[in-house]
Amino acid sequence: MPRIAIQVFASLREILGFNRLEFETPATTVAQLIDFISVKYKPEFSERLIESKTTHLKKYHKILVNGRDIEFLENLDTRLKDGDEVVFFPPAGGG
Amino acid sequence: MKLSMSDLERYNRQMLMPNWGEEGQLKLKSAKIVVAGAGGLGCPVSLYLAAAGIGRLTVIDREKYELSNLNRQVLGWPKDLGKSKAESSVEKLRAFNPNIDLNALVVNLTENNVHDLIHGSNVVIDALDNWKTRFILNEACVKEKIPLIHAGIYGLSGQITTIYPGKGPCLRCIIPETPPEVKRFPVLGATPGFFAMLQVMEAMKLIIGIGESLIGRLLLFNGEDMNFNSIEINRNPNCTVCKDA
Repeated sequence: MPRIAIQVFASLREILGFNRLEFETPATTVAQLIDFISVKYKPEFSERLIESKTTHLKKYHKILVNGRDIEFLENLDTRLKDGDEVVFFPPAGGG
Repeated sequence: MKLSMSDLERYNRQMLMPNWGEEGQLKLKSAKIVVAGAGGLGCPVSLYLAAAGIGRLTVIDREKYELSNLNRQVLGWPKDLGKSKAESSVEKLRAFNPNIDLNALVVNLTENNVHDLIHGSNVVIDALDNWKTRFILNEACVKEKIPLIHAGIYGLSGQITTIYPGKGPCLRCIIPETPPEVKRFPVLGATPGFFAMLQVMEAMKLIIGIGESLIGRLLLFNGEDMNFNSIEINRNPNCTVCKDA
């Protein structure tokens, strides 16, 4: 199974309880990875990222695969392979 | 406008930097910067802009200092509790650097007044704590063609970018949907302090015309593991705010 590293920021980090983790996963797309994390760790993770009615990514989140915004890749269908790093980043609003 | 003898001595160490010199310092002395917010970002931003010798500095904030602000809003001291953030911080800045023009505005930034507040400035600093006002400021800066240095923080992490209307994406291109507001977010003072310093560097570089700015890049920082990510950000050709800029 491919090994994927994830990094999570701000409120998403609070949901999961860690900010960085590496694991083996059968997920081959970003959408599947979100499901995998939600099932394995916290269901709120998916609820926070995905619009339940449309199953689209809520458009104020940034998800990066190897430093590239998935908006400019194939969005939630962006393919993942062994060794990829995925960053989940909700823009921070405090000041 | 000329640099005084005191200017030449006070700012000597920064003028030693490549491509800065008297010419660069004069650009700073002629520059006008608006700092929107006198909180965790705004206090250190204003302090270091004043230290660098910005000609005219305007600090906008309608709120008053509360005790729970003092872990990060470092120009608010115990004697200022219950007093205007803009006025109390400008009072300190005036003592710190009496040779610059300082202006405190105790107002709420709204669609109705934002253009008057920022008109004629060289750079605007987003030191706000909510998205609604950030998007008002973004739209006004795009219309007025004024560079806006955006930063936002949460806990030990945050993001920063420089919005240069016409040259790179605006805040709406980067964040198409307004995120939900968080009223009481967790924060250590060092986090906005750190991002404030990056905002000051960006502002200085734009005014003097040196270095490479964060136009077209979003810099993420996570203090929990001291990790940076710099991501490319692009203009949205259909952006409702900046498509004609």
